[in-house]
Amino acid sequence: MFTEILSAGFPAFFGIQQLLFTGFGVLMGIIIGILPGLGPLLGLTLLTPLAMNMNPFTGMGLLIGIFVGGTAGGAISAILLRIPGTPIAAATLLDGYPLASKGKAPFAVTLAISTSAIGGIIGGIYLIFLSPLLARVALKFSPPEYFALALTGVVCIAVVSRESTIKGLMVGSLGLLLSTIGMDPFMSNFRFTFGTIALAGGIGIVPMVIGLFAISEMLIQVEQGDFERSPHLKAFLPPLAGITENFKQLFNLFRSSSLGTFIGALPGAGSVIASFVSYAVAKNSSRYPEKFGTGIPDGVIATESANNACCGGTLIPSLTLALPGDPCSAMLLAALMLLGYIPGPRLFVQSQDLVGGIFLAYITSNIFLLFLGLAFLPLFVKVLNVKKKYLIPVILILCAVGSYGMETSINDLWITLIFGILAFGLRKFEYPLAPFVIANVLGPIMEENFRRSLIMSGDDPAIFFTRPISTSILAANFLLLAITLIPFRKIRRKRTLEKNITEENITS
Amino acid sequence: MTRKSMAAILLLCCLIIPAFSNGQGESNFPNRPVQNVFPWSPGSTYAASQVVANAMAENMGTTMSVTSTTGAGGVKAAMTVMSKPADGYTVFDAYVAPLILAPLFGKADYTFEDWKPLYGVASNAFTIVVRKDDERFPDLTALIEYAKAHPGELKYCAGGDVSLPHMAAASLLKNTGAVTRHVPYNDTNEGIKDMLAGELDFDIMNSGGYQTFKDDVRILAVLSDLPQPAFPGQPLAKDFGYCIGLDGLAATGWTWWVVHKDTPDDITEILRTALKEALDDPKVQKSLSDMGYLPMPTDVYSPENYTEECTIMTAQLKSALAAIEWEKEEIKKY
Repeated sequence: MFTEILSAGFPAFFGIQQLLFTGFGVLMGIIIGILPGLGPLLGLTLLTPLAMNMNPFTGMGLLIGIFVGGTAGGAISAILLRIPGTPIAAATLLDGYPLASKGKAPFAVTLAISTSAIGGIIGGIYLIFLSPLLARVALKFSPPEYFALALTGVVCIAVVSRESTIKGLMVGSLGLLLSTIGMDPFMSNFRFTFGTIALAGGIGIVPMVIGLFAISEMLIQVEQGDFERSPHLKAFLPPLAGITENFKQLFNLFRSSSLGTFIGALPGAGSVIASFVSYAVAKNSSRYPEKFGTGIPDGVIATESANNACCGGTLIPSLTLALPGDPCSAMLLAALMLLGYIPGPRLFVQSQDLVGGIFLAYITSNIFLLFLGLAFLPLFVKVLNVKKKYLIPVILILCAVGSYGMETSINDLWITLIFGILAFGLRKFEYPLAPFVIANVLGPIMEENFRRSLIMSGDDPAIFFTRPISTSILAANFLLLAITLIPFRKIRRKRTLEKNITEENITS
Repeated sequence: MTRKSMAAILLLCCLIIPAFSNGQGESNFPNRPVQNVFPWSPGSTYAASQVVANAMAENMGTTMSVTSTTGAGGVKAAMTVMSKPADGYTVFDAYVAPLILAPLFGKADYTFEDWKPLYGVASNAFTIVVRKDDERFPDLTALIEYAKAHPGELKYCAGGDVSLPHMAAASLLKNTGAVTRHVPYNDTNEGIKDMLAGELDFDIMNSGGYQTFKDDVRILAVLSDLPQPAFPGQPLAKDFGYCIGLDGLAATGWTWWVVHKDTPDDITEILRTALKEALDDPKVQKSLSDMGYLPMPTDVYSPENYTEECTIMTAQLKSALAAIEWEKEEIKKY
């Protein structure tokens, strides 16, 4: 089964163009990951229009490269500047920055990149072996099951959002609501378009996500000021010890990667959670837990291998069940759909070459990460020195190009701007944005399968509760919500306390 | 140093921006690539359009890209073409849905008369298929008789609601009096998956879909009264004595390439000549047939016959719409 998929993907993926763009994607991903505030999601979104103009293998290679590079890139700024380039790298800071303060910055950065790459490859191996199995099971799923799964995706991301479950659910509902704009999937009627052709095709995911994440981030950065600051870091070359350190801690590396993959495969839990959990596990099972946080390589290995392995993990449910675990995989899913493929178990039967290509792209990206990430270290350090007053306008131009480029439509620029302002407001009031994106991607899947189930049963809602799989999934959702929303005061207070402490650790 | 990295970023912008822009400048048509706006997401029909576009572009000494612009059942693609300059550089790959169905249902504020026709390009027929091992239905007669004996019990997928395959299926079912439940899927292949999983009983699929699933499904009949080279040896609906109620191309999917109405005549003529030459090329016809498409003869589906053909099909599709309404009324009883 695996060999079939891989051998179908092999000739399609291993071409000059595909490899070139995968490498380009990894480089772009790292750079975007390094820049504070911009993560792999933004990289994915900005380059999706470009990927749409390529053949699917090159396009997906590019996007997966960005996903992998972007997830790893944040560690560089976390270690060197004590500012995680992405929230994913926040846990890396705990031991990475102390390492750097001890004068071991080159070692720490090299270790972070190499361990990310190895963790990613381990995650990729899980991906290759587990997803065809899951896909085989999922082939038996029908509309009621898909509805239940899509609901799980939205509920989980809302429940785990850092801000609050209620706010997460509110934003998720808004995402679902906005996904109904455009043509009704069954009846070919227009909904909420206000008679304009601009909204007839719905709100494009690319211009929307660019607005939500990039424009709002730029607004926040402008608000913070400090345009002239540059850390004046000096470029350095990667020391070999940073790579060999991995082999001294094979068990830690393997455990963290496996944990990362597992957490990635859970709906709603993404790289941020993976790296924090993996850090905690490494610390608790260590022979010297007191040394964690003082700058030991163990901490960096635990977080960085977990967060990159998590990318592989999150691709498992995304590809087999069309159930993205985090906004990045939701965006990859959206890109797949824009390329004309429908994610789900059928992909493993019908487009084995593409699935194989994605697997290989993922593994290749991690190999590229190791080589390109280390070879271009001096460049990345220089990127960190760029002043905000140059960075912000350049990123805004890229946003405009990316948003307009998707369908060469001025309307999309308005959509980007409107969602940028909306997201700025949401972030000011501490609403999470991830549930919005997940809900927006899952919205049509959820709606179609809900209505299709009812059509199948002749409008009898019992169809959701009489089938074992859909009933169990729905029951699990209900339980999850009940547990999070019923106030257990003591626990909640304790949890907030803990959260504040970890946040203080990060921000102080 | 900062300046250097700035330069690097600017260079990246320069690299990315041209990927999205089109060159400008006018003199002799065509002096830059022509664009074919394709209303669906890339798939087998996309590949067919690409074959024709490549041959056509070669005849004009340029290149022709097929751009997928999806949304609103193809209307978005149509509106995109309408909003571009009428200079012949944008050709609309006008499938039945945006060209005839959308205006028929009042979903578009244009009609087929608002376009300047080139040639009819290719059609693909629909087939009615069941699971390969489904012993209830050895042939089409068995399926229809079963449906009549168990009204409202069988479920099938024919793409989206009120789509072209749905019209063809509903017409056949209305003519035979069989009442079944249509479960809409925007992607027919998803419907096939559910049929293979046992949720649905039969499926209406086109040649592209059949090629993908031919190991798992069995064709009961081809829903067309035209001979179908893509389905050698397969029976047509009329072989079982059933009438689809739709003649000729009306029961099939097809595309007629058109351009903006205000396109100058000399430019339209260049495009027509190039397209006709491409369609008459036996190599192009062979590739289309191999992909399961029926090339449309250029002498019948010519620019002169465009209005007449489209009018006939509009009338036929109106009657198919009545069949869908009949199906919806009947199924409520069960």
